[in-house]
This record gives sequence, structure tokens and C-alpha cells, in this order.
Amino acid sequence: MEDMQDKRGVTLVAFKKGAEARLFRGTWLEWEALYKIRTRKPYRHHLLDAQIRTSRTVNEARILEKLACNGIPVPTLYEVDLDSCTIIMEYINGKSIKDSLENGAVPSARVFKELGNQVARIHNAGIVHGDITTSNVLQVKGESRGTIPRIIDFGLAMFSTSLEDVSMDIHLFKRVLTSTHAEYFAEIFPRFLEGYEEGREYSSRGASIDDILKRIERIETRGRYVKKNKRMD
Amino acid sequence: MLILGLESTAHTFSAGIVDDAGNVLNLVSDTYIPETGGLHPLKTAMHHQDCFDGVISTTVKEAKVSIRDIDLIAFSQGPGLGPCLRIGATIARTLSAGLRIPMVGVNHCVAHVEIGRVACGCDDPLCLYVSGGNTIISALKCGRYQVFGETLDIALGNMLDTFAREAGLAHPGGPKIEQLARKSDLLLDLPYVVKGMDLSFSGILTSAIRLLAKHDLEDIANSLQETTFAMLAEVTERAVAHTGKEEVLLTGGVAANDRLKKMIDIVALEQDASFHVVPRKLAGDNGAMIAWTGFLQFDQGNTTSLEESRVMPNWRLDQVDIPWRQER
Repeated sequence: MEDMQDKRGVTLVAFKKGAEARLFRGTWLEWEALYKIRTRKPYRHHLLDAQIRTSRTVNEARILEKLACNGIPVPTLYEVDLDSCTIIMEYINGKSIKDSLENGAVPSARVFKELGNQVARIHNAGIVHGDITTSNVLQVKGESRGTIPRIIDFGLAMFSTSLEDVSMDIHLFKRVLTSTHAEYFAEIFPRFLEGYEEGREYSSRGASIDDILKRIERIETRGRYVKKNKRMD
Repeated sequence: MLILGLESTAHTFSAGIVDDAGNVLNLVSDTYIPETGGLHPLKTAMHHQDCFDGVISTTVKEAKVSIRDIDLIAFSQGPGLGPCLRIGATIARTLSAGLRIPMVGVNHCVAHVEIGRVACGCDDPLCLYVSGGNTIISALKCGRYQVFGETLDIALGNMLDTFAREAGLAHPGGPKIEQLARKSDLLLDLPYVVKGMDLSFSGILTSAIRLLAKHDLEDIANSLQETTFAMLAEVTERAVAHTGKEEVLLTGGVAANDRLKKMIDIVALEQDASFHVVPRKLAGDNGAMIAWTGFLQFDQGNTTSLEESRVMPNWRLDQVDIPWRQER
């Protein structure tokens, strides 16, 4: 991936090539900024490709705006350019939880509790993230107290309050822990749930933590052949 | 040493002989094709019962060996259709007892990955396994083939076959849909369902069947392929990015589809990974993959006793330890 210039002549430094988009570092006014560009996917039918890229760009921008209004520390939205499917947002400098875990440096229990709390507040705002993986949580220095987690990449987030979607969000995080960081699962997941339970406000339309846990169990048995196969486990 | 592998999880009864270096000496398969409808488990099992002796004796004869030369019997113990699995397991028990050689029960999904690795010469791939019964994106992590994404309802191949049946095409419908899709470049609106890393195809099936009343079959076939393959490609791309694997391996019956191959090839290229497709003969269900995986297990000192040889129709890929592979 090579560096490039944006339409204003700002130099964009290639930063990361993700599955969904290419990320560049640049400036926006006087701030350091992240340019998220959803480039064409040559494997897709061009119509499907245009449809997916545009709708995801609009959707992500809307979600970032709504969450910021609700006081959740998501990356601040600076600008959207639909012609190039680009979102310009705050650049967050931090190490991902995945990197830390892979180097054997397990973040403190408080970080996971705070993460659960943030996810709960995202859900309170009627939004689900859709891809809460350990690579999508960065750790940054807080203003007063130690490290705080900041959730990034709202590319798959959507507006939803349904029990299914909310539970799926937590299920995905659990699944990433068990598949990629199995050895730390028992340490991390209970802290996450603790923070989640504390931060969640249950309105009349919302579900309780018990409903969510029950639904997660159901989701887990929904994958192929997971029916309580006691003989194997 | 020589290993005889028996595959009988679904529509195919197959016997394969491999040696301990992964060379396939011979492979003979007999696939049940229903006259109407889909696979009825019992009828499929009866097909296997009728053809197994012919398949096994031809396999042995054509390999120019004697059944007495076989050192190990491997059989597919699951996952699959119970009645079909039981045919294979029964034959394995009989041969094992009669020839006084050990037997080993193999997980069908693990076998797909392992034959792909040896046939394509790849080491540590992200594996995309797409067939009539399974749609799984997996890679080795923590000593097992962990499932990073899978279908939440029906398998992609099953969806294509079912749609084809509704459209009046004969079983198996996948290849016919591919031919029809080549004649169209139109994209009709179908749901695009990716939930995190998981996929869902049942809603797309319903929508596609509804389109039958109003649109040309070619256009629906093309839209069906473009939409569902794009979903698979997207999840594969994310899984490669997430795991950092440098090889992508495509296997299963649907791996025969040229459009899917092309799409996953581009995904691999974009992620700087090499792309491998399991040769057609070894990509579908076959006895050689069971034999080879049986050897890998045997080589680690694992055999299956009579008591442990009961079939496991719901045996998951990620429930199997993979001791023969070192994590990188």
C-alpha cells in the first residue's frame, strides 16, 4: 500500500490495510487524523460493491455521530466524502488488546470492566458494534486514571435494540476470546460482563442480562452441530 | 504402510488407499443421486449398503495390492447423516476385526483440511471449506482447527442445491447454477447477510425462490452466486486479516465453482496470501482424505477401540485435537 494525497493536497501516509478499508494517517485542519477509505473490492460485482461501500460509509458516520452525542469515547468524526467513500476521523494512538495479549501482557481487570461498560452504553444508545474483536479495542492513557480502552472500527455497527443483535455483539467478543485467546478467557470474560451489567440501562424495550446470557447460549447452539454433545466435551 | 479410508458421511460412499507419505494409490467413489428431491438419509444409506463391496474391492484391485497388505482402517466417524455413517463404521469394525489390524475414526471436516494441506503442499492455511453440508472458515490456533466463521443455518451448497430443485433443475444443482450464471451479468436484489464472521443463507434462499416468479433463471442464478460468494469472500478476507495466515485453502464440493475460485483468489492476492484450491477429485467427499487423516492420528498413537467407534453425527471440527501440527 502506498502513500497518497487527498483532494486538498494533504499527504496521506499508508497506515493499515484492513479487510474492509484502507487506513491512512494525515491531518485535518490542525489535528492528526485517520482517513478510512473504503476502496473498491475487485472480486465483487460492481453494483453490489458500490452499494455496500456507500451504505457502510454513511452508516458508520451516522453511528459515530450518535455515539459521540451520547458521551461514549468513540473516535470523533471530522468529515465524510461519499464520492471516495472516505471517513475522516480522530486518530487514536494506542496498542490493541490483541497485541498485548499476544505478547503475554494481559491488560488489567479494570480495562475489561471499562470495556464492558462502554459496550453497555453503546447498546443503551440503541446501537450494536457488530465486530467487537480484541484488535478493535485500543488502550490509551486516560486523563486521570491509568489505561482506558477505546473501541474503534464501527464499520459493521448498526442501529438495533433487538435482543438477538445485542446478544450477538457479546457472543462475537466471547467467540474471539475463545478462538484466539483461549488461555485468557476465564480471566477476561467475567470482568467484561461485570462492567456490562453495571453500565446497562434497561428501558422497557431492552432485555435483561439474563435474557442476553440465555440468548448467547442459544446462539452458541445454533452454529452447526453444537447441540450439547456431551460425549465429546 | 498402507491405509484404507472409508468415507460415508452423506451422498458419497468412497474408499481410498494412501501410503504414509500422503500418496494416493487409488480412490473409488460412488455417489448417490436421488431421482427426485434431496438426500433421504435412509435411502442414501441403502445406496451405500448396496455399493460398498464393489467400491472397496475395485479400490484394492486397481491399486494392485491385496486387502491383506492394508495396515490400518480409517473411517469417517462424523459429522454427517447417522444412517450413512453407520454403514461406514460397521464395515470398518468388520475389516478391522477380520484382518486383525487397528482402526481409527476420523472427523470428516479435519480430513478435508488435511488432504488439502498435503495435496496443495501448503503448511498453515486459513481454510475455507464449502460443501453441501458445511460452510466453515477455520485455521489452526491453540492446537485445534478453530472455527472463525460458519453458517448459522444451511450450508452454501445445500442452499444452491435446494434453490436449483425449486427451479426445476436436477440434483446436484450447484454446477447447473454456475452454467446459468455465466449467461448473465445482472444483479437482482437479494439480502446480504454477514453477522460478524458468521453467515446465513436461509433468507437468501427464500428471496431467490420468490424471484422465480418474475425473473429469468440466469439472472437469479448470477445474483445468487454474486451475493453469496461475496459474503464468503468478505468473511474470508477478514479472517485472513485477523489471523495473519499467509495461505488460503479452498476445499469442499463448492470449490469446483470457477467464479468462487476467482473471487477467493483475488481476496488472497489482496491480503498478500497464496491461494490454493484442492484438486477436484480430492475436494469433494472422498476416502483418500479419511485414510490420510487416519494415518496422521495413528502416527500420534491414536487408534479407535470397538467401544469408541460409535458414530458421531454432530461432531464439530473444533472439538478435535490436532497433535500432529506444531503451532507457528
